Amino acid sequence: MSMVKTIEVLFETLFSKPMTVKFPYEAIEIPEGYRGEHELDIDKCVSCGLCAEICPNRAIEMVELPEEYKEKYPKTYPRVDLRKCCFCALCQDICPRKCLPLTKNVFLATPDPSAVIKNPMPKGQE
Amino acid sequence: MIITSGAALGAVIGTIGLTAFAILCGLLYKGFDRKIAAHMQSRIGPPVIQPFLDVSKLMIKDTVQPERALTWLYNAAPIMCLASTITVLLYLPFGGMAFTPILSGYGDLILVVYLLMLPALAMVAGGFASSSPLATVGAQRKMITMMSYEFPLAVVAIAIAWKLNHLYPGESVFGLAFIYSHPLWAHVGPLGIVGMLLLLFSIIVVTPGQLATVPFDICEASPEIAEGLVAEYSGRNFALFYLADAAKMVAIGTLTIALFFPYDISPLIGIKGPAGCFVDFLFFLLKLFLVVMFTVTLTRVAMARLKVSQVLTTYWIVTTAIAVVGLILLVAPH
Amino acid sequence: MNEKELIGTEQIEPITEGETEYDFYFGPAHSGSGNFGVRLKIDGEKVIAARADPGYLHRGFEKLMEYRVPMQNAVLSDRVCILEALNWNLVHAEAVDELTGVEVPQRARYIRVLMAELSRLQSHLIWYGVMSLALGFDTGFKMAFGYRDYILDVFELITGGRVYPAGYICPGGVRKDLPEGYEAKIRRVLDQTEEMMQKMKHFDNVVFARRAKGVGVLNLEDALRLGTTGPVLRACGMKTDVRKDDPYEIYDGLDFDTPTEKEGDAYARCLVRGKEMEESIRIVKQVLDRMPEGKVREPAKIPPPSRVKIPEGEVYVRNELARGEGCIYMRSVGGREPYRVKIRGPDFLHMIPVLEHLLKGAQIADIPAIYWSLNICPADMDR
Repeated sequence: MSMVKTIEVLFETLFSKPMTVKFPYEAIEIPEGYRGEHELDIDKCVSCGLCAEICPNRAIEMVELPEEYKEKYPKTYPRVDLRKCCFCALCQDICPRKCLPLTKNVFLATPDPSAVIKNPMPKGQE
Repeated sequence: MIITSGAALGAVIGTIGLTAFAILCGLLYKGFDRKIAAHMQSRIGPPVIQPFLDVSKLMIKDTVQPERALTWLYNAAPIMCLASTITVLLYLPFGGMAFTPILSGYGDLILVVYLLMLPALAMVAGGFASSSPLATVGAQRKMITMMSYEFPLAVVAIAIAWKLNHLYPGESVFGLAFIYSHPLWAHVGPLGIVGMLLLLFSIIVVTPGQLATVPFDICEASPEIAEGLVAEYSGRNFALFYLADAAKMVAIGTLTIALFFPYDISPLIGIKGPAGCFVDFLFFLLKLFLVVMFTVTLTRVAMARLKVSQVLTTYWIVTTAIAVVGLILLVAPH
Repeated sequence: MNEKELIGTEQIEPITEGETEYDFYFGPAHSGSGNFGVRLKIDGEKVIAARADPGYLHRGFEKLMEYRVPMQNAVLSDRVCILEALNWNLVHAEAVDELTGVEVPQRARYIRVLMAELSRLQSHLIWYGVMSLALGFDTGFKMAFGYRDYILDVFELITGGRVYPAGYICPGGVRKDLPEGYEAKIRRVLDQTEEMMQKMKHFDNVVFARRAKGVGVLNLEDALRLGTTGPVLRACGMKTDVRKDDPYEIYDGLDFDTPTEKEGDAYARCLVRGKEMEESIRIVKQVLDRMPEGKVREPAKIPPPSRVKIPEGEVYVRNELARGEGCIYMRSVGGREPYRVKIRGPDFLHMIPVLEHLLKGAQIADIPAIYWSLNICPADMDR
């Protein structure tokens, strides 16, 4: 009778290791290529604006930098609004200089509303 | 019977103590049930004290009352449910033979079987008083379940008492203290043992029906009627239903143990006196744990929910037939 | 305005004397119905009439797609029905490929079929879990979702996201090549899925036979008249599968069966889906054995949106999804965006005519078994 087989299966699982991954004490390793937060390399950026054109949610806007950096970086650079972003990585793929890669950082929940808009900043100033 | 003031005081203290302990025990066993069920399903499950956390959370929340509910009945039903469950416990030998039931001379097995209907009736009344179509359907289904499982339960009670009457004519065979001190397994032949096993099976099938767990939880079937019977209950009222459920689990487990496994371990090991009582008490808790695991946890994890018509045929036809055959096998060869 | 008008209590009809009929809204805010509502008229425990109430999940995909170029639409097409995202990606990608006339590389075709079949497997695992939950069998639900997570690990490795593949199957091929070590991982996951299917067989008698046999019987003429497709139709006895009747990608070179059953009740549908899972595993193994080398997308770089135009034309593409036949009609008048996109989901007909037909005369207790055995997805009905 299959009730017996069911109970056999249940007792087997009772004494084996559970499938649960006890996050945050353990975690599955995030593989390469996972689509997380953007990281702009502003020195490579040529301001072509293709990332802003391809974004399906219009989350990228080309903006100028604040006054103190305008001398070194006179053009417009992408500002990513993480609230609208769907993390599709089209911006990463279309960039001709590969300067907007998506990192593996997925821990983006924050109570701070200003942290969700990633303004373009020179290295070290983000 | 003349009640002395000492006896009355003892009864009150005993009641309070028993209530507290039974609820504690019930909630703890509910926690074990969830933990072991989770491991059977290959996951970790909540901590064992989760039911305590649930009850404390529910107690501090507001009760939201439906606009058209029958207020007095809606609020009285949970209280009646908890009170009648505790009353059942006062008649049962909780903790082994060392602790005679508090109301020992005032009621017997028949009264207990009737009293077990009261919590279910209170839930049905609460469901109807909620004035919501889901609760109404849930209450109807609970009534159907209740009407169906009473028959096999009565057959089991009568079978045990009938056999005891054969063996010890003249004694008050329905008294629970008497039943607890005279286990039947040693006094019946092989056919009698088969009969006892069939009766045990019947009461195992009845227990999930009384506790409204799978496969007989049609009255609270969440994918069909969204928690049905207790759909409109929240906050403190719901906490009382929750506590009543825990106490009911202990009560029905104790009844099963009293009827079928009333053995004490201290004569076997040879410990006497207060230490013996303590060991018996622990043994009782272990027996209760095993009964709860088998009737509630294993059936809940291994089976699906039955439909209303299937519940009716299972209780009225299949279980009743098994109980009657058990009765005949137990009583006939004499 | 007093509180009564705000709440809308006029919808609850007071019960008149002697009347046993009542309205039961098996609606979107119900723990047993997903994102979809059905208005039932019930007498005691029997359903007299049922009226589906769609539209809760309408998001306007067809209009959204008119404002985006095909590469952006590939990202949108995941969300048509997220439970089988890669399958919808595939339908959309095929439609655009046919319009633009591009030749998809062989390696890309094999990868597409691999991902589509894995997506079908995890969709059937979701179905099993939800059906068990609806029938009260908690263990099946927990285990099915546990085992589905292993397939999601594979998606994470290959596409970069567990549930949303972000248009991995895109017009021209696939978005990026398979990473190192994918084959061992996929074979391990197939073994784990077979473990789950073995457990499903052991649980069979307990769960499904008792509640699903003889329930929600759909005979073949009604099925054809009402427009069912996919496993629901195959359970009524008709041997039909778009992958064999109208092959796309590399399905004409693969070896697999089309399981059918004859009774047309809920249990037959369950059996068909169980066997389909076995066939999917077979297909994945064949694809892994035969994977060729080569490019994965034509053109290799994503063209800037302002420079690509879709040639004029119209196309209608059919695919076999986990739930039935999913199709896209796309029309272009030579612009950058498509002029009209029409998405035909299998569930529009399953959830409205077929569900109403099956629910009439059923008991309340049978509603979950019927509802979930059709494996409906409100998302691709409402789009």
